[in-house]
Amino acid sequence: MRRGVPTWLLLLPAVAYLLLVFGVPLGNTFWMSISEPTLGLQNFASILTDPLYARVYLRTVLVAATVTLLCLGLGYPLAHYMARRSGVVAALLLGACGLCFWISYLVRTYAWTVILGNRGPVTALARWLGVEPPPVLLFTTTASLIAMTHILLPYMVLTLYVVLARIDANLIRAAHGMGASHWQSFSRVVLPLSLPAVVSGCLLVFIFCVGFYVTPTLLGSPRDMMISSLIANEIETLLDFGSASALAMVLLAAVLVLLTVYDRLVGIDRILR
Amino acid sequence: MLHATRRATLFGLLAAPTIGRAQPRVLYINSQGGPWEAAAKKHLFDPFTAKTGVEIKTAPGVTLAKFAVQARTKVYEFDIATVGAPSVVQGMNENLLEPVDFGLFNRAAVPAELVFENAVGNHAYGTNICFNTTKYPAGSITTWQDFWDVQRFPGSRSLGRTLSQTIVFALLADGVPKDKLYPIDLDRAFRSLDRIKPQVRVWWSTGPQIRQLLGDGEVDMGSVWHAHGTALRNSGAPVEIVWNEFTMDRTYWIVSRGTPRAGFAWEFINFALEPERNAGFCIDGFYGPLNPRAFDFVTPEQAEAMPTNAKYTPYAVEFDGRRMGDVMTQASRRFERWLQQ
Repeated sequence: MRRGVPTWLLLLPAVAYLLLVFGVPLGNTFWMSISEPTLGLQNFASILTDPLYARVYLRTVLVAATVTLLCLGLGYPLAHYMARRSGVVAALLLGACGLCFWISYLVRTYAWTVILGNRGPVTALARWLGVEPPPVLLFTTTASLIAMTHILLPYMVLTLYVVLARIDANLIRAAHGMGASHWQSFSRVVLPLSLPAVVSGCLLVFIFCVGFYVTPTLLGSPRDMMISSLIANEIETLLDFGSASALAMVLLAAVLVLLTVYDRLVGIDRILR
Repeated sequence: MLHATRRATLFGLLAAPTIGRAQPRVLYINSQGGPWEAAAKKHLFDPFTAKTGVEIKTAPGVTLAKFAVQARTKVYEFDIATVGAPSVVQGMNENLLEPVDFGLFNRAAVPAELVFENAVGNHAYGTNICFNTTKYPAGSITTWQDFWDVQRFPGSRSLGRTLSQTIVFALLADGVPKDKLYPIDLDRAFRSLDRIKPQVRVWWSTGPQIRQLLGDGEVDMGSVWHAHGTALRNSGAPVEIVWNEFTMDRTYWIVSRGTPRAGFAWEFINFALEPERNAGFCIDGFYGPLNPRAFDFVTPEQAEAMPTNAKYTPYAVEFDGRRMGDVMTQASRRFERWLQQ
């Protein structure tokens, strides 16, 4: 096909912009990771050999995986319900999800400190039920998992909803017509058709979660250090730009590996659909 | 050093005739926000602008890391900041600070012990034991040994992530006399911290955080910056501030190395240290003035909440900024590992 302007030229402004505001700082970070304080791979070597880094990476991945599973477990039924209901109910639920998007995650994190705190409704309820002393929730791993799941749930729900809502209702009717039970129509028709959205949603939540900083710091136990806190600490207290950059590079590499796996499994272009 | 000074002077000479024309008359100050900014605006920024015509703009987020980035990139988000002694030492070690320009800064106007090569002392804050008086009787907890004594005073605690303070508390709790703290024995400090660790629910990092923790009764006692303890008590919370074995953190003005506005910076710092300015800023900002003549402008009631009050200073623990600065990097690395254990 011949046109006046080559199509790739249309991409140029966006690509140039990304290169400038994303590529250059990223390149700079990479350069710092191998040049601070001296040229070499010592920063990466210390990441591999220091048990602290390994432990924090492992914890970050475990936390992110747990939050992803919680979001999926809570989000799939909700998205499915919304997709099968039409009109007011679906619109209301969708609006509720959207509302969560618009409230800053920082505000929501602070809200959880109140809800889970000593004077909060959870403690009051426990006391009312006669649980004395009431369970300690704030500043525990549970608190940070609850809040992160709450913050990331809309991403999961909306990703799933878009795909679930577009599954042709006739397919389900056809399944029922062929004698399939509710469970069978779900497991043989709806679930396979929604799998790409499940993978997209999980990936989205997981990647967001891996980079979480404020929420685990404010709500979690002192041991719940995520990799972003560690990076911040390397810079803020130790002025160690080299190892902070190397830590960030390893995190980026891990996310890229995930995206590659996703591409193999589902195809990266699926995100756009 | 010499080179930097000469360059700064040269800049002063070059800039002088152009001031008002090419050079915008602006000074960017790193702000801690909250009461700090309100007090600084009222007593320092606005009067300085009125006097000199130099406009003052603030940039939030005081961290030495930004100084490092600025010296590296030569892009200056702010020119000056107030930081503690360990940061001054760290900043000097990393060569991030502009030396004091004695051509512009009048050293005779302030006590000699406030003026350093790269920093000028302005105010001080205390870090005190603060405890909930509904949980423990008033006057019951007076030392860090009491704070560490979980048999006599059971309950949850919070300590700060500001290690220069927490390490001192750990050593005092372990029986080190306050005049024998240096050189810092990190092993001993961490062994002492091991004993209190299970009771520490939160390692706080900001003033409002510990204020909320104590105010809401999330913890029963904690190390608290005196300004936040005072604010908490003024709000009616049942807390007692212990003016014994409190650490005295002196805070210094520092100027980011290489900033083109260093001239305005020294002029401003000079202005800020005038006794009446220093007093006004410290009253509204909840600090203790370091210029002793500032107390001429402070009422006895206001002095009650000031760590530099002569009534309290005999019970204060002073920092050896340099010797504390020497162990800070090692202590921070060790602390992060220790927390994960």
